Amino acid sequence: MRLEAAAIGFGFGGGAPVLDGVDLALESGRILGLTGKSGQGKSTLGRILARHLLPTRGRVLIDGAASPSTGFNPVQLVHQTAIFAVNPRWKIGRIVSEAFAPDESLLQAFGIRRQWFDRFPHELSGGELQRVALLRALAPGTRFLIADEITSMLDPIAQSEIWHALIDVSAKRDIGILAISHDLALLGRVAERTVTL
Amino acid sequence: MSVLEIERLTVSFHRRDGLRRRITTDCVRDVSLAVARGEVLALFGASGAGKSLLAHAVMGLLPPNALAGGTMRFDGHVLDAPAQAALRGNRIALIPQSVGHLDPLATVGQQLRWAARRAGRPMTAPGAVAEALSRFDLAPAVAGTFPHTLSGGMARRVMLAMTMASGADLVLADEPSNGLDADNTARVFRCLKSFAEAGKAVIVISHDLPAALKIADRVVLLDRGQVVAEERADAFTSDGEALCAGYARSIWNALPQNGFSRACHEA
Repeated sequence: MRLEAAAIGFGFGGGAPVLDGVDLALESGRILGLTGKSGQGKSTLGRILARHLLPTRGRVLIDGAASPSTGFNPVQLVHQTAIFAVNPRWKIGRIVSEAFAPDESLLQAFGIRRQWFDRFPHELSGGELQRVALLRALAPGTRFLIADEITSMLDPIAQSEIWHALIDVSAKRDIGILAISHDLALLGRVAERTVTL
Repeated sequence: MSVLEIERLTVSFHRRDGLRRRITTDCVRDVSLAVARGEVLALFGASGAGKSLLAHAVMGLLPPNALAGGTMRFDGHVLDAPAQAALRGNRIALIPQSVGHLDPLATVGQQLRWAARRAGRPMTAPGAVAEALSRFDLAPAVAGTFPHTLSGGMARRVMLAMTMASGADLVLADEPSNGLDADNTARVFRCLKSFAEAGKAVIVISHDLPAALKIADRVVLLDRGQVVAEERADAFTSDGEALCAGYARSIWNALPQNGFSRACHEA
Protein backbone atom coordinates (compact mmCIF):
# COMPACT_ATOMS: atom_id res chain seq x y z
CA MET A 1 0.00 0.00 0.00
CA ARG A 2 1.02 3.57 -0.55
CA LEU A 3 0.00 6.66 1.41
CA GLU A 4 0.46 9.76 -0.65
CA ALA A 5 0.27 13.48 -0.08
CA ALA A 6 -0.18 15.22 -3.42
CA ALA A 7 0.48 18.96 -3.80
CA ILE A 8 -0.67 19.69 -0.25
CA GLY A 9 -1.27 23.31 0.69
CA PHE A 10 -2.32 24.50 4.11
CA GLY A 11 -2.54 27.80 5.98
CA PHE A 12 -3.98 28.78 9.32
CA GLY A 13 -6.70 31.45 9.28
CA GLY A 14 -5.88 32.98 5.91
CA GLY A 15 -2.28 33.69 6.91
CA ALA A 16 0.78 32.80 4.87
CA PRO A 17 0.62 29.11 3.93
CA VAL A 18 2.43 26.71 6.25
CA LEU A 19 2.60 24.10 3.51
CA ASP A 20 2.71 25.01 -0.15
CA GLY A 21 2.59 22.22 -2.73
CA VAL A 22 4.15 19.47 -0.62
CA ASP A 23 4.42 15.94 -2.05
CA LEU A 24 5.26 12.93 0.07
CA ALA A 25 4.79 9.18 -0.33
CA LEU A 26 4.94 6.50 2.33
CA GLU A 27 5.09 2.79 1.48
CA SER A 28 3.82 -0.13 3.58
CA GLY A 29 6.46 -1.76 5.73
CA ARG A 30 8.88 1.14 5.25
CA ILE A 31 9.99 3.79 7.71
CA LEU A 32 10.43 7.27 6.28
CA GLY A 33 12.00 10.09 8.28
CA LEU A 34 10.69 13.67 8.17
CA THR A 35 12.71 16.51 9.62
CA GLY A 36 12.99 20.29 9.38
CA LYS A 37 13.30 23.34 11.57
CA SER A 38 10.57 24.39 13.99
CA GLY A 39 7.61 25.93 12.22
CA GLN A 40 8.15 24.34 8.82
CA GLY A 41 4.89 22.40 9.04
CA LYS A 42 6.12 18.89 9.89
CA SER A 43 3.38 18.24 12.45
CA THR A 44 0.78 19.93 10.25
CA LEU A 45 1.69 17.59 7.39
CA GLY A 46 1.43 14.63 9.80
CA ARG A 47 -2.01 15.74 10.90
CA ILE A 48 -3.14 16.17 7.30
CA LEU A 49 -1.91 12.67 6.40
CA ALA A 50 -3.93 11.26 9.29
CA ARG A 51 -6.99 13.35 8.31
CA HIS A 52 -6.98 15.25 11.61
CA LEU A 53 -6.79 18.34 9.40
CA LEU A 54 -8.07 18.84 5.88
CA PRO A 55 -5.67 20.50 3.46
CA THR A 56 -6.75 23.71 1.75
CA ARG A 57 -5.20 22.40 -1.46
CA GLY A 58 -4.10 18.99 -2.67
CA ARG A 59 -5.20 15.49 -1.68
CA VAL A 60 -4.28 12.62 0.59
CA LEU A 61 -4.51 9.30 -1.22
CA ILE A 62 -4.24 5.68 -0.17
CA ASP A 63 -3.34 3.52 -3.16
CA GLY A 64 -4.55 6.28 -5.42
CA ALA A 65 -7.98 6.62 -3.79
CA ALA A 66 -9.14 9.22 -1.30
CA SER A 67 -8.61 7.96 2.27
CA PRO A 68 -11.85 6.90 3.99
CA SER A 69 -13.61 9.53 6.06
CA THR A 70 -15.68 7.07 8.13
CA GLY A 71 -14.88 3.88 10.03
CA PHE A 72 -11.51 2.92 11.46
CA ASN A 73 -8.77 5.27 10.28
CA PRO A 74 -5.98 3.20 8.69
CA VAL A 75 -3.62 6.14 9.24
CA GLN A 76 -3.02 6.52 12.96
CA LEU A 77 -1.25 9.52 14.50
CA VAL A 78 0.75 9.45 17.72
CA HIS A 79 2.27 12.69 18.94
CA GLN A 80 4.73 13.86 21.58
CA THR A 81 2.41 14.29 24.53
CA ALA A 82 0.44 11.16 25.23
CA ILE A 83 -1.56 12.71 28.06
CA PHE A 84 -3.45 14.86 25.53
CA ALA A 85 -4.30 11.81 23.42
CA VAL A 86 -6.28 9.95 26.09
CA ASN A 87 -9.47 10.52 28.04
CA PRO A 88 -8.34 11.46 31.56
CA ARG A 89 -11.47 9.87 33.06
CA TRP A 90 -10.93 6.48 31.45
CA LYS A 91 -8.69 3.79 32.88
CA ILE A 92 -5.89 2.45 30.67
CA GLY A 93 -7.74 -0.84 30.04
CA ARG A 94 -10.70 0.98 28.54
CA ILE A 95 -8.46 3.32 26.54
CA VAL A 96 -6.74 0.34 24.90
CA SER A 97 -9.84 -1.79 24.39
CA GLU A 98 -11.54 1.12 22.65
CA ALA A 99 -9.27 0.23 19.73
CA PHE A 100 -8.75 -3.53 20.10
CA ALA A 101 -7.77 -6.35 22.46
CA PRO A 102 -3.98 -6.70 22.18
CA ASP A 103 -2.30 -10.05 22.76
CA GLU A 104 0.46 -10.71 25.29
CA SER A 105 3.28 -10.61 22.75
CA LEU A 106 2.40 -7.07 21.69
CA LEU A 107 2.19 -5.95 25.33
CA GLN A 108 5.56 -7.50 25.95
CA ALA A 109 7.13 -5.93 22.86
CA PHE A 110 6.18 -2.48 24.16
CA GLY A 111 6.99 -3.24 27.78
CA ILE A 112 3.42 -2.71 28.93
CA ARG A 113 2.20 -4.37 32.13
CA ARG A 114 -1.35 -5.59 32.65
CA GLN A 115 -1.38 -3.93 36.08
CA TRP A 116 -1.45 -0.54 34.37
CA PHE A 117 -4.88 -1.34 32.89
CA ASP A 118 -6.49 -0.59 36.22
CA ARG A 119 -4.92 2.88 36.49
CA PHE A 120 -5.86 6.31 35.20
CA PRO A 121 -3.58 8.10 32.68
CA HIS A 122 -2.14 10.48 35.28
CA GLU A 123 -1.03 7.48 37.34
CA LEU A 124 1.49 6.45 34.67
CA SER A 125 4.73 8.21 33.77
CA GLY A 126 5.07 10.00 30.44
CA GLY A 127 7.07 7.12 29.01
CA GLU A 128 4.61 4.50 30.20
CA LEU A 129 1.66 6.40 28.78
CA GLN A 130 3.42 6.88 25.44
CA ARG A 131 3.81 3.09 25.18
CA VAL A 132 0.06 2.76 25.79
CA ALA A 133 -0.72 5.40 23.12
CA LEU A 134 1.42 3.51 20.61
CA LEU A 135 -0.16 0.18 21.49
CA ARG A 136 -3.62 1.64 20.95
CA ALA A 137 -2.58 3.07 17.59
CA LEU A 138 -1.43 -0.37 16.42
CA ALA A 139 -4.91 -1.87 16.12
CA PRO A 140 -5.34 -4.58 13.45
CA GLY A 141 -6.74 -2.08 10.93
CA THR A 142 -3.75 0.25 11.09
CA ARG A 143 -1.77 0.42 7.83
CA PHE A 144 0.24 3.56 8.45
CA LEU A 145 1.56 5.24 11.58
CA ILE A 146 2.48 8.90 11.82
CA ALA A 147 4.97 9.09 14.70
CA ASP A 148 5.40 12.79 15.54
CA GLU A 149 8.31 13.25 17.98
CA ILE A 150 7.02 10.22 19.89
CA THR A 151 10.15 9.72 21.98
CA SER A 152 11.51 13.25 22.32
CA MET A 153 10.54 13.53 25.98
CA LEU A 154 11.77 10.05 26.91
CA ASP A 155 15.14 8.90 28.17
CA PRO A 156 17.50 7.19 25.69
CA ILE A 157 16.79 3.67 26.99
CA ALA A 158 13.02 4.05 26.67
CA GLN A 159 13.50 5.65 23.24
CA SER A 160 15.61 2.77 22.01
CA GLU A 161 13.19 0.13 23.38
CA ILE A 162 10.16 1.76 21.79
CA TRP A 163 11.78 2.21 18.39
CA HIS A 164 13.10 -1.34 18.31
CA ALA A 165 9.56 -2.56 19.00
CA LEU A 166 8.14 -0.32 16.27
CA ILE A 167 10.71 -1.44 13.69
CA ASP A 168 9.69 -5.04 14.48
CA VAL A 169 5.97 -4.34 14.16
CA SER A 170 6.46 -2.42 10.93
CA ALA A 171 8.26 -5.36 9.34
CA LYS A 172 5.93 -8.05 10.71
CA ARG A 173 2.65 -6.34 9.90
CA ASP A 174 3.75 -4.39 6.85
CA ILE A 175 2.93 -1.04 8.47
CA GLY A 176 4.40 2.13 6.96
CA ILE A 177 5.76 4.62 9.48
CA LEU A 178 6.45 8.33 9.06
CA ALA A 179 8.97 9.24 11.77
CA ILE A 180 8.87 13.00 12.41
CA SER A 181 11.78 14.25 14.51
CA HIS A 182 14.38 16.94 15.07
CA ASP A 183 16.84 14.24 16.04
CA LEU A 184 18.81 13.35 12.91
CA ALA A 185 20.81 10.72 14.78
CA LEU A 186 17.57 8.96 15.70
CA LEU A 187 16.20 9.16 12.14
CA GLY A 188 19.51 7.80 10.88
CA ARG A 189 18.90 4.74 13.06
CA VAL A 190 15.24 4.07 12.35
CA ALA A 191 14.45 5.46 8.88
CA GLU A 192 15.57 4.13 5.53
CA ARG A 193 15.48 7.63 4.12
CA THR A 194 14.82 11.08 5.56
CA VAL A 195 13.22 14.03 3.82
CA THR A 196 13.60 17.62 5.02
CA LEU A 197 10.69 20.03 4.98
CA MET B 1 33.48 26.61 47.44
CA SER B 2 30.05 25.23 46.76
CA VAL B 3 27.26 27.73 46.28
CA LEU B 4 24.63 25.09 46.86
CA GLU B 5 25.00 22.00 49.00
CA ILE B 6 22.18 19.52 49.30
CA GLU B 7 22.44 16.83 51.94
CA ARG B 8 20.12 13.85 52.05
CA LEU B 9 17.17 15.64 50.54
CA THR B 10 13.93 13.70 50.56
CA VAL B 11 10.66 14.95 49.08
CA SER B 12 7.56 12.97 49.91
CA PHE B 13 3.89 13.30 49.15
CA HIS B 14 1.15 12.40 51.56
CA ARG B 15 -2.36 11.36 50.72
CA ARG B 16 -5.05 9.34 52.40
CA ASP B 17 -6.68 6.30 50.90
CA GLY B 18 -10.37 5.41 51.17
CA LEU B 19 -9.90 4.08 54.71
CA ARG B 20 -8.23 7.35 55.79
CA ARG B 21 -4.90 5.59 56.05
CA ARG B 22 -1.94 7.83 55.43
CA ILE B 23 0.07 6.86 52.37
CA THR B 24 3.52 8.35 51.88
CA THR B 25 5.32 8.31 48.56
CA ASP B 26 8.97 9.36 48.48
CA CYS B 27 9.59 10.98 45.12
CA VAL B 28 13.09 12.20 45.93
CA ARG B 29 15.14 10.01 48.27
CA ASP B 30 18.37 10.82 50.07
CA VAL B 31 19.78 13.04 47.36
CA SER B 32 23.09 14.74 48.11
CA LEU B 33 24.84 17.01 45.66
CA ALA B 34 26.80 20.24 45.48
CA VAL B 35 27.54 22.78 42.79
CA ALA B 36 30.30 25.41 42.76
CA ARG B 37 30.68 28.82 41.13
CA GLY B 38 31.64 28.62 37.48
CA GLU B 39 30.39 25.06 37.26
CA VAL B 40 27.64 23.53 35.14
CA LEU B 41 26.01 20.50 36.71
CA ALA B 42 23.67 18.49 34.51
CA LEU B 43 20.85 16.64 36.22
CA PHE B 44 19.75 13.79 34.02
CA GLY B 45 17.11 11.13 34.44
CA ALA B 46 14.05 9.46 32.90
CA SER B 47 10.72 11.23 33.18
CA GLY B 48 9.40 10.84 36.70
CA ALA B 49 12.88 10.54 38.21
CA GLY B 50 12.32 13.62 40.38
CA LYS B 51 14.47 16.18 38.56
CA SER B 52 11.97 19.03 38.52
CA LEU B 53 10.86 18.24 42.06
CA LEU B 54 14.46 18.62 43.19
CA ALA B 55 14.63 22.06 41.54
CA HIS B 56 11.37 23.12 43.15
CA ALA B 57 12.64 21.93 46.54
CA VAL B 58 15.71 24.17 46.16
CA MET B 59 13.48 27.12 45.26
CA GLY B 60 11.03 26.39 48.09
CA LEU B 61 8.22 26.05 45.56
CA LEU B 62 6.96 22.55 46.37
CA PRO B 63 3.23 21.86 46.24
CA PRO B 64 1.48 22.18 49.64
CA ASN B 65 1.05 18.42 50.16
CA ALA B 66 4.78 17.78 49.69
CA LEU B 67 7.18 17.46 52.58
CA ALA B 68 10.91 18.06 52.22
CA GLY B 69 13.49 16.52 54.56
CA GLY B 70 17.27 16.87 54.76
CA THR B 71 19.32 20.04 54.70
CA MET B 72 20.31 22.52 52.05
CA ARG B 73 22.90 25.25 52.28
CA PHE B 74 23.35 28.29 50.08
CA ASP B 75 26.71 30.04 50.34
CA GLY B 76 27.25 28.22 53.63
CA HIS B 77 23.99 29.36 55.21
CA VAL B 78 21.06 27.09 55.89
CA LEU B 79 18.52 27.35 53.08
CA ASP B 80 15.20 27.14 54.90
CA ALA B 81 11.81 28.53 53.90
CA PRO B 82 12.47 32.18 54.96
CA ALA B 83 15.89 32.10 53.30
CA GLN B 84 14.37 30.69 50.13
CA ALA B 85 11.72 33.41 50.07
CA ALA B 86 14.42 36.06 50.48
CA LEU B 87 16.82 34.64 47.88
CA ARG B 88 14.33 33.53 45.25
CA GLY B 89 14.41 35.73 42.16
CA ASN B 90 17.54 37.57 43.13
CA ARG B 91 20.35 35.24 44.17
CA ILE B 92 18.68 31.98 43.13
CA ALA B 93 16.83 31.88 39.84
CA LEU B 94 14.75 29.15 38.24
CA ILE B 95 14.12 29.08 34.51
CA PRO B 96 10.91 27.07 34.46
CA GLN B 97 10.14 24.29 32.04
CA SER B 98 7.27 26.07 30.31
CA VAL B 99 7.57 29.44 28.59
CA GLY B 100 3.94 29.86 29.69
CA HIS B 101 5.38 31.25 32.93
CA LEU B 102 5.95 34.60 31.23
CA ASP B 103 3.24 37.12 32.04
CA PRO B 104 0.91 37.19 29.01
CA LEU B 105 -0.24 40.75 29.79
CA ALA B 106 3.14 42.47 30.02
CA THR B 107 5.67 43.26 27.33
CA VAL B 108 9.05 41.59 27.29
CA GLY B 109 10.71 44.90 28.23
CA GLN B 110 8.46 45.36 31.27
CA GLN B 111 9.11 41.83 32.49
CA LEU B 112 12.84 42.28 32.05
CA ARG B 113 12.72 45.48 34.13
CA TRP B 114 10.64 43.74 36.82
CA ALA B 115 13.17 40.93 37.09
CA ALA B 116 15.99 43.46 37.46
CA ARG B 117 14.11 45.61 39.98
CA ARG B 118 13.09 42.66 42.12
CA ALA B 119 16.75 41.73 42.45
CA GLY B 120 17.59 45.31 43.46
CA ARG B 121 19.46 46.14 40.24
CA PRO B 122 16.97 48.34 38.37
CA MET B 123 17.59 49.02 34.69
CA THR B 124 17.59 52.78 34.53
CA ALA B 125 20.21 53.57 31.90
CA PRO B 126 18.77 54.26 28.45
CA GLY B 127 19.33 51.30 26.20
CA ALA B 128 19.85 48.93 29.14
CA VAL B 129 16.93 46.74 28.08
CA ALA B 130 18.09 46.58 24.47
CA GLU B 131 21.57 45.67 25.61
CA ALA B 132 20.28 42.94 27.94
CA LEU B 133 18.29 41.47 25.05
CA SER B 134 21.12 41.69 22.54
CA ARG B 135 23.28 39.46 24.72
CA PHE B 136 20.83 36.67 23.93
CA ASP B 137 20.53 37.41 20.20
CA LEU B 138 17.23 39.24 20.61
CA ALA B 139 16.54 42.42 18.63
CA PRO B 140 15.73 45.64 20.58
CA ALA B 141 12.21 45.59 19.07
CA VAL B 142 11.46 42.43 21.06
CA ALA B 143 11.20 44.61 24.19
CA GLY B 144 7.90 46.03 22.97
CA THR B 145 6.29 42.70 22.12
CA PHE B 146 4.05 40.41 24.18
CA PRO B 147 5.07 36.80 24.96
CA HIS B 148 2.46 35.16 22.68
CA THR B 149 4.14 36.67 19.61
CA LEU B 150 7.47 34.99 20.42
CA SER B 151 8.61 31.62 19.12
CA GLY B 152 9.53 28.96 21.70
CA GLY B 153 13.22 29.63 21.23
CA MET B 154 12.84 33.41 21.60
CA ALA B 155 10.66 33.08 24.71
CA ARG B 156 13.26 30.81 26.23
CA ARG B 157 15.97 33.39 25.54
CA VAL B 158 13.81 36.11 27.09
CA MET B 159 13.72 34.04 30.28
CA LEU B 160 17.51 33.70 30.09
CA ALA B 161 17.84 37.48 29.72
CA MET B 162 15.59 37.96 32.78
CA THR B 163 17.78 35.55 34.73
CA MET B 164 20.90 37.45 33.69
CA ALA B 165 19.26 40.74 34.69
CA SER B 166 18.52 39.36 38.16
CA GLY B 167 22.23 38.75 38.72
CA ALA B 168 21.54 35.40 40.41
CA ASP B 169 24.52 33.37 41.69
CA LEU B 170 22.72 30.08 41.23
CA VAL B 171 20.70 29.35 38.10
CA LEU B 172 18.48 26.30 37.73
CA ALA B 173 17.25 25.64 34.19
CA ASP B 174 14.47 23.07 33.93
CA GLU B 175 14.42 21.35 30.50
CA PRO B 176 15.58 24.51 28.68
CA SER B 177 15.56 22.83 25.27
CA ASN B 178 12.08 21.29 25.33
CA GLY B 179 10.39 21.78 21.98
CA LEU B 180 13.32 23.61 20.39
CA ASP B 181 15.09 22.65 17.19
CA ALA B 182 18.81 21.90 17.11
CA ASP B 183 19.90 25.50 16.37
CA ASN B 184 17.85 26.99 19.19
CA THR B 185 18.86 24.22 21.58
CA ALA B 186 22.54 24.91 20.91
CA ARG B 187 21.97 28.65 21.36
CA VAL B 188 20.17 28.23 24.70
CA PHE B 189 22.82 25.87 26.04
CA ARG B 190 25.57 28.28 24.97
CA CYS B 191 23.82 31.04 26.94
CA LEU B 192 23.74 28.79 30.01
CA LYS B 193 27.44 28.10 29.61
CA SER B 194 28.07 31.85 29.51
CA PHE B 195 26.36 32.12 32.92
CA ALA B 196 28.94 29.71 34.34
CA GLU B 197 31.74 31.59 32.62
CA ALA B 198 30.45 34.73 34.35
CA GLY B 199 31.00 32.96 37.69
CA LYS B 200 27.52 31.64 38.40
CA ALA B 201 26.69 28.10 39.41
CA VAL B 202 24.38 26.45 36.89
CA ILE B 203 22.22 23.37 37.32
CA VAL B 204 20.69 22.25 34.06
CA ILE B 205 17.94 19.66 34.12
CA SER B 206 17.64 17.92 30.79
CA HIS B 207 16.85 14.61 29.20
CA ASP B 208 18.83 15.69 26.13
CA LEU B 209 22.11 14.17 27.24
CA PRO B 210 24.20 15.01 24.14
CA ALA B 211 23.19 18.70 24.33
CA ALA B 212 23.78 18.88 28.10
CA LEU B 213 27.17 17.21 27.79
CA LYS B 214 28.39 19.99 25.52
CA ILE B 215 28.33 22.43 28.44
CA ALA B 216 28.32 20.33 31.62
CA ASP B 217 31.30 19.67 33.88
CA ARG B 218 29.58 16.93 35.85
CA VAL B 219 26.47 14.83 35.34
CA VAL B 220 24.29 13.52 38.15
CA LEU B 221 21.97 10.72 37.08
CA LEU B 222 18.70 10.31 38.91
CA ASP B 223 16.55 7.22 38.75
CA ARG B 224 13.28 6.89 40.62
CA GLY B 225 14.18 9.71 43.00
CA GLN B 226 17.69 8.55 43.85
CA VAL B 227 21.13 9.53 42.67
CA VAL B 228 22.37 6.42 40.89
CA ALA B 229 25.56 7.88 39.51
CA GLU B 230 27.71 10.95 39.37
CA GLU B 231 30.04 11.14 36.43
CA ARG B 232 32.47 13.61 34.92
CA ALA B 233 31.09 14.90 31.63
CA ASP B 234 34.28 13.93 29.81
CA ALA B 235 33.76 10.27 30.77
CA PHE B 236 30.92 10.11 28.24
CA THR B 237 33.10 9.22 25.26
CA SER B 238 33.46 6.32 22.80
CA ASP B 239 31.74 3.23 24.22
CA GLY B 240 31.44 4.62 27.73
CA GLU B 241 34.13 2.46 29.32
CA ALA B 242 35.28 5.42 31.44
CA LEU B 243 31.85 5.62 33.09
CA CYS B 244 31.71 4.16 36.58
CA ALA B 245 28.02 3.28 36.81
CA GLY B 246 26.20 0.64 34.78
CA TYR B 247 23.16 2.90 34.45
CA ALA B 248 25.27 5.68 32.95
CA ARG B 249 26.79 3.23 30.50
CA SER B 250 23.36 1.86 29.50
CA ILE B 251 22.03 5.38 28.90
CA TRP B 252 25.09 6.33 26.88
CA ASN B 253 24.95 3.22 24.71
CA ALA B 254 21.20 3.58 24.10
CA LEU B 255 21.68 6.93 22.34
CA PRO B 256 21.07 6.72 18.61
CA GLN B 257 24.46 8.32 17.92
CA ASN B 258 26.10 5.49 19.89
CA GLY B 259 24.90 1.89 20.01
CA PHE B 260 21.10 2.49 20.09
CA SER B 261 21.08 -0.60 22.31
CA ARG B 262 18.18 -1.57 24.54
CA ALA B 263 20.19 -3.41 27.16
CA CYS B 264 18.65 -3.23 30.60
CA HIS B 265 20.90 -1.74 33.23
CA GLU B 266 21.73 -3.63 36.37
CA ALA B 267 19.72 -2.29 39.29
